[in-house]
Amino acid sequence: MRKKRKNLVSALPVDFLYNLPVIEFTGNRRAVIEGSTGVLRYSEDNVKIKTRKYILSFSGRGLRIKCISPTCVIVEGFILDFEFII
Amino acid sequence: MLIKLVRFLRGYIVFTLSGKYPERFINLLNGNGIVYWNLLPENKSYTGCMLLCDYRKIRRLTKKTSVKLKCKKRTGLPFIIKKYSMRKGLAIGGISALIIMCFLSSFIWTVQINGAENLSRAKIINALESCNLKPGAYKYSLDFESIERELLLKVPEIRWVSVNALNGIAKVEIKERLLKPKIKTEKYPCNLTAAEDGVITDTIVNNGTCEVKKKSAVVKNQLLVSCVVEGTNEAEDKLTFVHSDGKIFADVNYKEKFIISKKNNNIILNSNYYEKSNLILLHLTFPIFFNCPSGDLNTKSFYQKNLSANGVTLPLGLDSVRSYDINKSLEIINKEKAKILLEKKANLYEVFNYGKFKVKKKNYSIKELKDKFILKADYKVNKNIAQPKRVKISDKSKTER
Repeated sequence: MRKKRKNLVSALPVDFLYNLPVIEFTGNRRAVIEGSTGVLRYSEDNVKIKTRKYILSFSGRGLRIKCISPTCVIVEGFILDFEFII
Repeated sequence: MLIKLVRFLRGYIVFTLSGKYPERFINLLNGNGIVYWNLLPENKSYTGCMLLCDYRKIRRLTKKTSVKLKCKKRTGLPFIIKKYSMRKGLAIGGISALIIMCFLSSFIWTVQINGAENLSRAKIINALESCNLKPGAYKYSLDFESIERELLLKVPEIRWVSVNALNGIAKVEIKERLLKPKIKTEKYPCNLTAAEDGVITDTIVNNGTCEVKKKSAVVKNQLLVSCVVEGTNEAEDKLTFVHSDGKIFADVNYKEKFIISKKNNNIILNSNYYEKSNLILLHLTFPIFFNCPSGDLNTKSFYQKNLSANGVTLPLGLDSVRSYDINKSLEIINKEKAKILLEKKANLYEVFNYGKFKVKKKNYSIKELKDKFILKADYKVNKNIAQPKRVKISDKSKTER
């Protein structure tokens, strides 16, 4: 019974199980963050996005939030540095 | 594009955001489901766009987060309406123009006929008018399918027709019928006889026996082609009666007389004319000028001019009647002028009477009498003089057939 449960758990996606954000990069020009809970800092050189587990920090030039919804943020610009703040 | 149009119709505001915690304000906007776009950071402030209806809602949030919200630019239809709300005449003018446009487009302005190459356009227009399709007709009262059917019945030369009305122009597309040639189906026995006196010049006999030769003189009602045909073989040694067919060309002489009196009443048009014009709007006419001719005798000419724009004839135009005064004067004609006038008369006569035939020779001679001039014209015309004449066959001869 336990084995079966373990197998079922392993079959589920990790982000779903542990409330992890899904981050998708397009080069260093664009980042799509799914599972965000809010914006902590928004300036041209630094954007900080809050998720349930971490705070994601984007540093670069000419950063801007292209699109924002309650659970999804698209950050565009010249991303030079990306950081998880735990 | 569509999103931009919706935003324009609903109206939006470009705002600047400044304060201590703008990020918190952004999160609150997301939480409350308020739509905004183009949010860009500037020096210690942010600029963005927001719908007008949402802008009114967020005042509570600005107080909560202690940020300053400033309206930078207002764009959209609600602001334009507000701007011109005092100018009621403009709105009334716009609406009335729209209504007039809708009203006028519900009438037929012009009728365009395409594809009529050999058919008379006047005939088609008359047939269409009898079906109520004419300038000024109410478009929605017309049944185009029944017009097409009626037109096909009224003008049998039309093979196919399509009537479409678009923006006040009725387009009539026509395909003409190819008429089949007449085939001679007469089978009764007949001779060909001479319709007039003349000298034979050529014979073309398709059926029957030719009874005359070239250069032979014939008189009226003389037999030219006989319907009796003899068999060539011994087995066919029988007489048969056929429907004679052919052309017998002969030189026929004609004499004509043209007379002109020495005192001639001349009719001269005055250069002065009086015009009576009507303004035409669709099928309605409104008189503009009421001039009347002064003399008793006058002649009239009618013409109509319609305005046109971009190749489209508008239902607005002028219908004019010009009345010219006529002066009568008595003229005494000398021989030279009489010759010119009589020859003109003779030429006109030739065109109408011998136009289809070949005039080989003509000779004019003018004679002067006490009160008139006479032109005697002799013509030599080459024409087909054969005319069919039915043959009555008795019962005995029928068995021969």
